[in-house]
Amino acid sequence: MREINKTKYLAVFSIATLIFVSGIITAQYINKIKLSEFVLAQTDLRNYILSLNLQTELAKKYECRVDTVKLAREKDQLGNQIDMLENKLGKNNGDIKSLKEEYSLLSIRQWLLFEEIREKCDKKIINIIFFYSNERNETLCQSQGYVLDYFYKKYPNYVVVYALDYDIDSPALDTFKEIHSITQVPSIVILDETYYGFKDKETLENIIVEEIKNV
Amino acid sequence: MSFGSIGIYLASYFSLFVGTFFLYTFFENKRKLKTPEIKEFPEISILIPAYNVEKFIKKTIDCVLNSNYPKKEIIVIDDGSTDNTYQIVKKYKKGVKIFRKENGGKASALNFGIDKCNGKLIMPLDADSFLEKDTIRKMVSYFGDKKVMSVVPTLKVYNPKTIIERMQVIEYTVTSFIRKIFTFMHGLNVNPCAPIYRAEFLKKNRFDQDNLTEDLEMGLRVQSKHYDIQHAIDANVYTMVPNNLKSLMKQRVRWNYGTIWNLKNKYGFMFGLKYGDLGLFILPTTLIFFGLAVFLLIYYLGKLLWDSIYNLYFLSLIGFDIKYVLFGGGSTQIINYLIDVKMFLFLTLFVVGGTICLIAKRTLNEKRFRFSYFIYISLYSIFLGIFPLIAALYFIFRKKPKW
Repeated sequence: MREINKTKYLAVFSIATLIFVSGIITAQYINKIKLSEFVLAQTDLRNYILSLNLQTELAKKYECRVDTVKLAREKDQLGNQIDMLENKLGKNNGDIKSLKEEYSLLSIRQWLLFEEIREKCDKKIINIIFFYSNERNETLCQSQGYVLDYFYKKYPNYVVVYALDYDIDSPALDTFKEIHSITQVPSIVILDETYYGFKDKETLENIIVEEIKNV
Repeated sequence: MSFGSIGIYLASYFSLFVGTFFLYTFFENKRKLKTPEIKEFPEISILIPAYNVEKFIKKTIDCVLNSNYPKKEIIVIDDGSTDNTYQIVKKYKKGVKIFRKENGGKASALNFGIDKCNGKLIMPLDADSFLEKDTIRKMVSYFGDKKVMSVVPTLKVYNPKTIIERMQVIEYTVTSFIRKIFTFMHGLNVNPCAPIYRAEFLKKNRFDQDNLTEDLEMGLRVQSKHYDIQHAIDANVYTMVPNNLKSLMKQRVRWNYGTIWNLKNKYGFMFGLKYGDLGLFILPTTLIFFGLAVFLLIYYLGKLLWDSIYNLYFLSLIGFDIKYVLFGGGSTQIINYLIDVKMFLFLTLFVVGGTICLIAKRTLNEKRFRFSYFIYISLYSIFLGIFPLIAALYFIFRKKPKW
């Protein structure tokens, strides 16, 4: 009959558990810091857009000096970060929902700004509004998002994509949906014309190339 | 939390627990590492089963003859070789005897040879394994303790050249270190390659000729009678190891199959409290590691396959125009991945595993253990899942892997 040292098992269990829990707590702590950095970046961007609104007002008086490509890239990066956070924390997380709502409002504000720049400053910008949902036609929405992201990367000097979650409950977004008669997802609005359902690469390429020629 | 995440958390905690257990046991018994002083020199019979080993047998015998242990005899059993093994051995005039029999496998040759041995100790020695001058002396010193029924040496890889062989240098170093830890727990349960037994035990307990891992079965048998198996950590034996993936796969599937088969069918060790740490910790840990390795392998291979199909589908949407997909977003994703909770667990395990490897390297004075450690960790861990998986499939479908 061999002896079993129970104290040793208990000691090892305690040490291993302590290391394990410490590892998890450290990682979660860093995640929290990163989340707060995202929130900070988002506030920064909002301030930035507000200041650019002011700049646009000034531009009316003087000249159009707004760097739209840089602005669009910053918005896109924020969107990617929110996407990653959503994957990590889940789409039902309260912080994520609020971040996405803020992001939608920022997108609408940027769209308004860019439309104004396009019209008043004669800049070549193709604003694409993309309505998607995480609850309906998810695969089609993901596919459409992927194709639009491709065009944003292919024509970074012209194409700006505003991805808006159809299910977000916001009066501004509702008005936006009403204006463009959005009743289903995925839907795309390209320069005031609404396209319903998934649009493949070729269809969109034709529209975009045509618009680039026109704008 | 997904099914895979739960598996990763469980595997991480379990591995951490086992790693901590090893380190705790090592530091608790560090002073017992030293080999005891030899007091007696009982006669030893070196029993070498030989089958078509004309390339190595001379070196193996010469190493034994050069040993500084005084009372020894060498018995070679030619297990029906078709090459020049017999002729090479026959040339030795003094101290070496050779017997021939029909081919019947290693265990059969050993059983045949046990009756020819005159020593009080018997060392079954693989014909492709080479002793150092003082290996036998160091091993025999442990027999001063009456409870010790067998002693195993530290196995080292002979002349590693290929990447597969170099990876095994690390594996053998760590395995030997862990075997020493098992002896502190009275739980070493395998007698590979070049163990020394008390002759009285082997004469009563013959090798199981149908068993694919007869050294493991014999180790379990020693343990079932509550005797000790010791490990002379500074007594080195150099052995030939598989030098390519195919032969490594064949060997490891056989070992893994043998382990599963013996643990299921022999002596009721699993969770047998009367066997102490062996029944409660060592053997269940071995089986759980097999299970976890198989689970993680299947999970990640499945995930890899699914992700590949998923990515191909999306790439097809943009006509595989990948140059635009490659730009942007990547670095953020990598940073995001690096600070994931699971990555922290892997990092913790890496530190614990690395600590064990480094202590093993220092304790065994293995200078050939180099930075290939990192390659080892990333590549070999995949194989560690594949071997038990194939072995488990053999076991489930009641097929026996070939030698």
